[in-house]
Parts: sequence; C-alpha cells; structure tokens
Amino acid sequence: MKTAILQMRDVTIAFGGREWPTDVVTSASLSVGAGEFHAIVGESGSGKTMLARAALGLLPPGGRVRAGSITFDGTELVGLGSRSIRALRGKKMGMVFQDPLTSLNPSMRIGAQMCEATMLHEKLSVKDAQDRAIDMLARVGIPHGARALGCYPHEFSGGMRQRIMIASTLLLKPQLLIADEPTTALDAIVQADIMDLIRDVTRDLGTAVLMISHDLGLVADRADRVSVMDAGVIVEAGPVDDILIEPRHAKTKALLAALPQGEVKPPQSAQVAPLLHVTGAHVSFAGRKPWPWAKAPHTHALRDVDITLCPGETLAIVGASGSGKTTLGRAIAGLQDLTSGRIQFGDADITHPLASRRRELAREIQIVFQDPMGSLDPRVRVGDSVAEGLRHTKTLSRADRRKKALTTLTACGLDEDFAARFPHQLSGGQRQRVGIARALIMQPKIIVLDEPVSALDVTVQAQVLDLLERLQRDHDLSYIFISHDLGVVESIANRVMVMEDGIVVEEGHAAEVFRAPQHPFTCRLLSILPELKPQGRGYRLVRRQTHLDPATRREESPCPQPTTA
Amino acid sequence: MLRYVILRCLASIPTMFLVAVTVFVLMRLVPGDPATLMVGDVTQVERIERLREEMGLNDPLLVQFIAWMGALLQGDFGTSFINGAPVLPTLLDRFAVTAQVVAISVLLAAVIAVPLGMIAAWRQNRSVDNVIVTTSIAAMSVPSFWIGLMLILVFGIELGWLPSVGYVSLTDDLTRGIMYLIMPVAALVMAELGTILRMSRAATIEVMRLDYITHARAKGLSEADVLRRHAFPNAFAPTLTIIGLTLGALLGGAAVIETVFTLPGLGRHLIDAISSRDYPVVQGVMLLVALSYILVNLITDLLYPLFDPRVRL
Repeated sequence: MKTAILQMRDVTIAFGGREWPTDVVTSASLSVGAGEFHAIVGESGSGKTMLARAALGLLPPGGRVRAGSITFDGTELVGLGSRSIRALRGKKMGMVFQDPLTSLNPSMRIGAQMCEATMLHEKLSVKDAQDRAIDMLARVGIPHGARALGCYPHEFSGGMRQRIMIASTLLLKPQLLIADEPTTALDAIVQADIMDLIRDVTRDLGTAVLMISHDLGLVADRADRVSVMDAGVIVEAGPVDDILIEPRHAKTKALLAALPQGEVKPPQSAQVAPLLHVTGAHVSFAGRKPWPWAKAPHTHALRDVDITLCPGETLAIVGASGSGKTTLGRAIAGLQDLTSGRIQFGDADITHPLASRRRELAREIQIVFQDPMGSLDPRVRVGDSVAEGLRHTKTLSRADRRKKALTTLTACGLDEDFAARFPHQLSGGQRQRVGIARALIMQPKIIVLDEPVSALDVTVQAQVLDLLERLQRDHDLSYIFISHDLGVVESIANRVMVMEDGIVVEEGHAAEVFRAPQHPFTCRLLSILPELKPQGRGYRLVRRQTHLDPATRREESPCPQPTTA
Repeated sequence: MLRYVILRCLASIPTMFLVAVTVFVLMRLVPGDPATLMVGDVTQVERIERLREEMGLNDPLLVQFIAWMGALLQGDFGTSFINGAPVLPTLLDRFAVTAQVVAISVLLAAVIAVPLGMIAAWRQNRSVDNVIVTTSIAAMSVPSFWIGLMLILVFGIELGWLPSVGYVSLTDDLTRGIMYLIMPVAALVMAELGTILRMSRAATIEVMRLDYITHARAKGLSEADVLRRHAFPNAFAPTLTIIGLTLGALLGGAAVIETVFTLPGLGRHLIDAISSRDYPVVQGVMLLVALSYILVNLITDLLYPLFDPRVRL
C-alpha cells in the first residue's frame, strides 16, 4: 500500500457533557493512502459523517474526539490549535458537502467564493486566482468559466452547483478530498456523472478521496478500498473486490442485498379493463407577467401524455427532474388541474378535481410524497395523521377510526405504540411507512408514489419497496411509481414509462425496457445502473448493455383501449 | 427594477386615497367641534355658528371632502384652523426635526445591534450570548420616556453636561445641535436596539447552521472572515426589513420622546392638532406619515436584492 496520508487510530467521538458522554463513533481505525479512493459506507446514523468531519476538526457543536489519534501527513490533528488546523483546511484537505443547494453561499458570486481560498492560502492576486478558477471549472465540465464566475449560485442547477463545489475545493490541489454523500441529493444520471468526475479529476491531481455514502453500488466500481460502518463501528474494511466477493459482516451483506439484482417483474396479464385512463394530458404554468396588462409567459410541464393503468399493475414513470413526472402524478391524484386532456377512472370522468363526482372518487386515488419529513404535520400524532382521511366517514365512530388507524399502521410494519408518537420521533423509513399507511387507510384502488424512497438509505429503500409489494398483493392495489432512478423501479414495476421534457419518450413492459431500450435517454439511465451478479459466495459488479437496438421492435401496450362510455 | 418602482408607486395611490378618506372621516367622528374650541365659550352660540359657516364646517361632508381633495391635488394642504398659517411649511419644518432624530437613532441602533446580534449568535448559549440577550431584553422592557427622564435627571440636572430642554437645528449650529440631540437619540436607541438585535441574532443562528458556513470554515477562513463575508450578507437581509419597519413607524412621530425632550417634532404637532380639532393639520400630518411609511418600505425592498441576489424585483 502507498504511504498513508490520513491515518485514524481508535478514534472515539462523543457528544454531550464530560460526565455523560454518548459515543457516536467507537474505536474507528482507517487509513487513506496518498491518491487512494477510500469509501466509508453505512446507513444514516452509523457515524460515518462524524468520523470524516473529525478529520477536519469540523464536528458540530458539542461533539469532540474523546480518544484516539488522527494524523494527517504526519501531523497529529487531535488537540491541534485552531490556527494550525485552519492552515490545513482548504489547502491540504478539502470537503464537498451533500446538499449543493445549501453548500454555496447564495449571496456571493461564484468567483468570489472560489477565489477566496486560493487568495487566502497562496496569496494569489485576484487575476491569477480567477484564471485558476476558470481552468478548474473547465476541468469539471463548466465551459464558460469566466461568465460563471460572475453568476450567483441560484443561477445553476443542483448538479452544476456540485461541480462548482468540487472545482472550488480542488483549486488548491489538496492531498485529501472528503466528500460527504456528494450526490445523494441529485438525479440518478447526474449522480453517476459527478461520481465519475470526482474519480477522474482527483486521479489526475493525485488527490486522495474519502467518500462517504450509503450506497455501496454507487461507490463500488469507483473506490479502491471500502470501510463499512454500522452503529459507530467499522465492521469490515478492505479492497472493494474482496468485500464484494466475500462479504463477511451481516451489515455488508445487507448493503449488497439492497442493490438491484437484475430481476424484472412479468407483465400484468392482459385482457382486463383499465382502471385509469389519461388521454392527452397537458399542463402549462403561467409565469410572471412583466406588466399587469401583459400576457403571462407559459411553461409547459406536460405535453399530451397518455397513460393506462390496469388493476393490480405497477406503472413506473421515470425521468430526470423537470421532466414533468411529478406534475403527472399530482394531476392523477387530483392535486393539479389539467390545462387540457382527460382523466378517466373506470367509467367516470375525473378530470376536474373539484367536481362533486371527483370528490367522491378522491379516496380511490391516494398519494405518497417524496419527503417523509415535510409531508407529515410535526404537531400531529402519527395515529391522528393516519386516521385523518376518515374524518368525513360518518358511519365510523371515533373508536372505529382509531382502531382502523392502528391496524393500518400494523399492516405497514409499525407497532401500535407508534400511533402516539410525533413525526420527529421517527426515522425516515418509519415516516415513509406512516405516509403509506395514511394513503392505505382510505382503501384506495390506486396509490401514486412520488419518489417514495429517494430520500432514504438504500437498505431502507429495499425494506420500503418490499412493504409496497406486499401491500399490493394483500390489498389489490395499482401503483403509479414515480422515480428518477431506473434501479429503484426494476424490482417493482410491470411497465415502465420514460419521460423527458414533459413528453413520454419510451413505454413498455419492464422486461423489454430493461433488455432493449428504444430511446437514448433510457440507455443513459440504464448505463449508470450497476448490477450485481452472484459469484461464488459474493457478487460481481457488471455494467448494463446500453446501445440502442433498432432491430428489437415492441408490441403494443398490454392494456386494451377503453370503450368510450 | 424601474418597472418595479413604477408599479409600486402606482400601487401607493389607492393606499394614499384610503388613508385620506379614513383620516377625514375619523376626525369628524371624534366628538368636539373646532369652532367651539376656538371661541372657548359654549354660550356664544351665534359666534360659534358664524365661525362654523366661515370654516365650511356646515357643508355636507362629501362637499368638504371634495373641496379638500381638490386643493390637495393642486398641492394646497389648506390652512390651520387655529392660527391661519398654511399647513405644509410648518409640517415640513416639524418633519425635519423628527426625521433628524429618528434617522440618526435607527442608524445608530442598527450599527450597534447588528454586529452584537451576530456575535451573540456566533456564541449561542454561551456567556457572551446570555449577557447580550439579557441586556437587550432589559433595554426593550424599559419604557422610552422613563429612560428619557432618567437621562435628563442624570446628565441634564445632576451633572449639567447636556441641555435637557429644547432644540437647535444641526444646520444652524452643528456643535450645539449635537448637544441637544444626544439625549433623545440615546433614549430612542436604547428603546429600539433590542428588536433589531434579536432579529439579527435569530437570522444569524439560522444562517450559521447551513452548509456554506461549514464550507467556508473547511476552506480555512478565520472565524471573523466566516462571519463577515459569509454570515453577514445572508443574515442581514431579514434584519433590514425590521430596520425599515422601525424607521417607518418612528418617522410617524416619536411623540413620547418629543414630549419628554420638548422637541418641536411631528408627533407633538399631531397631538396638539388633535386636541384642538385642527382638521387640516391632522389630515396633513397623517398623509405625510403614510407617505413616508410607504417610501421607507419601498426603499427597504429596493435594497433587499443587494443582500439576497435571489430576490428579483
């Protein structure tokens, strides 16, 4: 192994007072060699972020390294004075954060933010610092660097901002880059691009990387070594291939099992009348008028989209952010008016959300939102949140409603005593189960799942997906599953619809879309999916076929056209 | 930007009209008759009646209102019932006094409170923070007239360092003007400091939690640079709104302070006019107050994008 640049020995990190410390990391040891790509993988709460932050001396208030030693390039960092550690920060060690929307200062121009570190550490002139910044922006894939320097962060997309963050951090050519889930907040495609970018640029610069992630699949074919963390302890560490081929610890196995296994569901048996039929759905949003009397500019979120959904079927809608997939889901759930088009539920026209007929049918179509934190009222107990949908059902007494809420919670894998808790006392996965219970209690025919697992760790994702499948079997549900990631959809979808810029670019049985994609965008989505093939006792990572095959043409969609009622 | 200013100015026209109607109607709903007050003797019915006729108070309300609005649109604020002097020049004189005291006070309060609030936020829940917050709450809780009286007692009477009554304009005599301003300004600063400080502290705490602050630290910037370059512009934007609101509210007349220090300001002018039912003066003052409030808020909103470029006007 190359000489270690960062060495952690028996590091224990504690929060709380001296008398009653709570350890969040216990006796963790790892070493990152010069130029090495080292990944720490673990679920949220496993202490991986704290361990990485300790290296920079940037633990949140109240946290401290209680025992152990952290050496960087021969210098002991534990107990080092703030002035000396500041000299290392930025210059020798850089850090990239998870959320690109909050990690750049919104009130400062990109140029000022990028140049301040070089001007501080290397005493460069403004002109030199700017030239360096423009060069680095070009390397991370932002061509018009000079113009970008004059812009503010909000003028860039999330992926672009993360590129800027990386450029800004690598400007000083640090020996170590610490990246804390740098792609978790991004779309699947952007995620892969950024990961490749970090690997390539750091390789060129000879910078070592300490990558923190909850997704073993994402780091597995980019990292040299992996440390798996669980509950504050490093449970397994070693070269990536060894870990994949021979995972020893149960947590590693769980992380591997959560990855897509390349199994696709069979299509739903044909010859059933469709449950939901959307024709020519068009949604446009009016922008801001320049003058009160002027005409407002329009942006089109959906352009002439057709959907059919059969009973018991899962239709996945996949697309990048801004593709209109969420707007479509909201329209089906009655939360968004169509500009034009028609939505039919069975025989009933439910196009207009406020029409009385629509209201009666409202309970038949429920929705589960992406953000499990923001979609639950923090002041309402879980049980009441779940029971709320029943408040207009006059036939049910209060006790009945409560009982129903409890059975629904149990069906969603939550004990009855969860009913008395508040949302903040739950983990992300548990909150999402509450969100599902809230939809399920209405006994709907259709549930619109708007990115139901994208805010969750991969292991929790797998559990929630299992739950959704079980509920579908038990309650005869149809799902519209919205996601930016084909990998998530693979195990659950019967049919897949790929959207781009408000248009459906590809539609078909899951097996066909995954085997023989027809559209370049689908190919891109597929190409970033790692697939684990079992090998020996462990796994082997393979990349998918991505080229377009025009020879394989597809049959028609399995749902028969509805007879106009 | 220009479009925004034009739209806001247009939008203020109906606001001003509503203010005019409200003030006009309210004044006439208040019991008491200016003519009776001027004559000072309820038994001289005939004189009172003649005076009412002269002042146009016997006309229907609508006629009175239209006459007033018509004159206003030509820039004529009318004449005072009491001394027959034109309303506008006095109004502007009085406003200048209030504006001087208030502008200096609010500016000074902001200059002191914003950095203190940021330091308190930076040292949240430590002793420095506790001292700053406790002191600011104490200053907020004490009524400004009491502070004023204590200042007069100590510096005006006991020590005799400062003049305690009266006013000299800064433009007439700078040094003497400053001497007269010190105590009223100090009293106002004490009263307004707490609000701005607490806003600045809350906004800074909000900002200090965000990743870009940690990122700035990870770049190796010193704490002073982190606060000055990264925390301040983002934390100041919401504080600016509070400063604007405070300024607007005080420009309407810091009547209490003006009374304590016998400053010839707008607030006292208004109170005098109300008690003598001097309709044209009251109406004029209220219009000016409304206008200055609208203007201060417009300026605040125009300054906002300087601190938060995401705001587009």
